[in-house]
Amino acid sequence: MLERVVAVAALVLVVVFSFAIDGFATLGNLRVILTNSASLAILSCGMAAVIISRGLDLSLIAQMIAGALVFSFLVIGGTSTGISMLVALGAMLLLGVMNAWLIAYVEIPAMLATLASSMFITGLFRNTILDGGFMILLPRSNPTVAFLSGDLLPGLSVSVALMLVIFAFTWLLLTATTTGRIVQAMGDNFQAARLSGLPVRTTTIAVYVFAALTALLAGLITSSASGAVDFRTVTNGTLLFDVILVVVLGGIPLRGGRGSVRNIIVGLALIAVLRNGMTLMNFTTQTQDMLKGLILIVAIVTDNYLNPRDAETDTAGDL
Amino acid sequence: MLEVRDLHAYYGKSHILQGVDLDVGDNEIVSILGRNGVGRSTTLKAIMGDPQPHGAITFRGKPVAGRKPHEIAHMGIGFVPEERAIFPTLTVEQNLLLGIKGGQTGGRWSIEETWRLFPQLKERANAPGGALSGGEQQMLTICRTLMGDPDLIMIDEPTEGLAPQMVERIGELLKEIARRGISILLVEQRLVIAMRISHRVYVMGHGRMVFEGTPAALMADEGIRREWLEV
Ligand SMILES: Nc1ncnc2c1ncn2[C@@H]1O[C@H](COP(=O)(O)OP(=O)(O)OP(=O)(O)O)[C@@H](O)[C@H]1O
Ligand SMILES: [Mg+2]
Repeated sequence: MLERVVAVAALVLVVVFSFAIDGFATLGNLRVILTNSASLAILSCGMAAVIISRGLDLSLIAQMIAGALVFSFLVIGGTSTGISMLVALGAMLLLGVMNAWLIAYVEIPAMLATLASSMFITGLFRNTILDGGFMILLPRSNPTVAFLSGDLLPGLSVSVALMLVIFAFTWLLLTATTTGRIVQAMGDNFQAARLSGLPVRTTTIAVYVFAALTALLAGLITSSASGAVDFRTVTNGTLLFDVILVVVLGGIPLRGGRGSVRNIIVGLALIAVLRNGMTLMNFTTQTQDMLKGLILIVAIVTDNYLNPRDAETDTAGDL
Repeated sequence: MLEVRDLHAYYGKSHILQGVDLDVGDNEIVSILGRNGVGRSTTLKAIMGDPQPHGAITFRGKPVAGRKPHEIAHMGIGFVPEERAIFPTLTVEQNLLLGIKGGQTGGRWSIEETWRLFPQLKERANAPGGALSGGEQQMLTICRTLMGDPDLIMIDEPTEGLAPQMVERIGELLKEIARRGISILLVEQRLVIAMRISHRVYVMGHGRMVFEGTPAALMADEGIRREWLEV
């Protein structure tokens, strides 16, 4: 329901911006919007899977930068691209398992567990690899960096292609696999999922590892495009906010249970168009943040109004 | 088939189960009766591993205590909890498919069988589980559990809050389950149903069993009934 409202809002924005902003309704700008949204879209797929299982991953951006940092650090030091990628994948696997372990085995609420791990990851990597600094520069000459920031086909950038691959993968994961069904069941009625013998702990691990892998991919794309791996992406907080905004605006309830790639695309459309339009209109970041904050509040209020919480839906989840 | 010896369980500091002894044999229907709050549900949940059981639980000779709920389910114990344990936004069919365990091949119960026995579930195969009536949700949960092909199914108050006609249907379903050679451990408030279908009954007092015997023996034991069952 919220999904429909947001889809209409995105369309209205497109129409308004097309008339109001010179250079908005051009093929070139469409490509800019898509390319700039690729990593947001990929992160949103990871976050959506986590949220549908009734989790939350506030450490997603810290993992994104950490993963890109591991890769870049090794590549700069002369390690081969393949080995660097394997080590980065291993690091992400560890981070995902760490989050899932805190949540499913130590049973710390996801919000607190991943808030703590976000700070831990940021501190750990800045201290050990960056010597307390914020960023390192990436060599544009590295073949992976050049590949990720380039075009796959004329008119189709590699980052947009990867976004489409992740969309397809997430869609398959959620709709066509047993794991996907268990993910939904966990969000739908966690206690029942547990007691009826579904493997909730292993599924939690799978979900957080998937999120960590989307973070790595998004990190590689972002840093290849900007030429830097920068931990200020974590500390200024806007990207994490945007990811949650995409998921919630798309109509995925924060208590989990349902959601699909379609929801992600709808939420993404609104945020991507809005970000692009506001930038073209030279809004300051503060104004942009303020507007996005307002939109999130309006979305939540609309959602509550459209799907009033009655006793049934309230208890169905948290027995 | 299931042997429980000196089972203790706690919620926080409260000592809820205080030495429960219980047996369920092959092809047996066993009921646990008792007043509200004596720990009947806790007994089933502790067998399932949550809250953590202290004591000896064996299922077909293998130890159960200390395992996780999904491992216990894989050993062949199905559990239908007291709260309606459906997945409300998943469809009826998806709910049923979730009952099939990873790596499972075949079973005594199939989705076709569910449709045949409960045409009203089939009609609503694509409706969300949350849109079913209370009784239909209860049947859905039982059928989903059967999809996992358990050797023993533990069912907690399946008829609670249901109309008499639905209660009859649940009773029929339980007999049908038993005919397939699946043992049943039932917690039931309605004496009539429990007495009619059970081979053996237990009466639970505060955290332990105070009676064990046939339904006929319980009928004959007015003292137990007066002290532990009738209000
Ligand atoms: N999650 C819980 N936390 C703390 N105490 C609990 C919890 N669940 C049950 N209890 C307590 O444990 C005792 C036994 O509860 P249990 O649910 O096993 O009772 P029961 O015999 O099934 O009764 P009924 O289902 O009719 O209420 C009760 O005193 C109850 O208050
Ligand atoms: Mg009970």
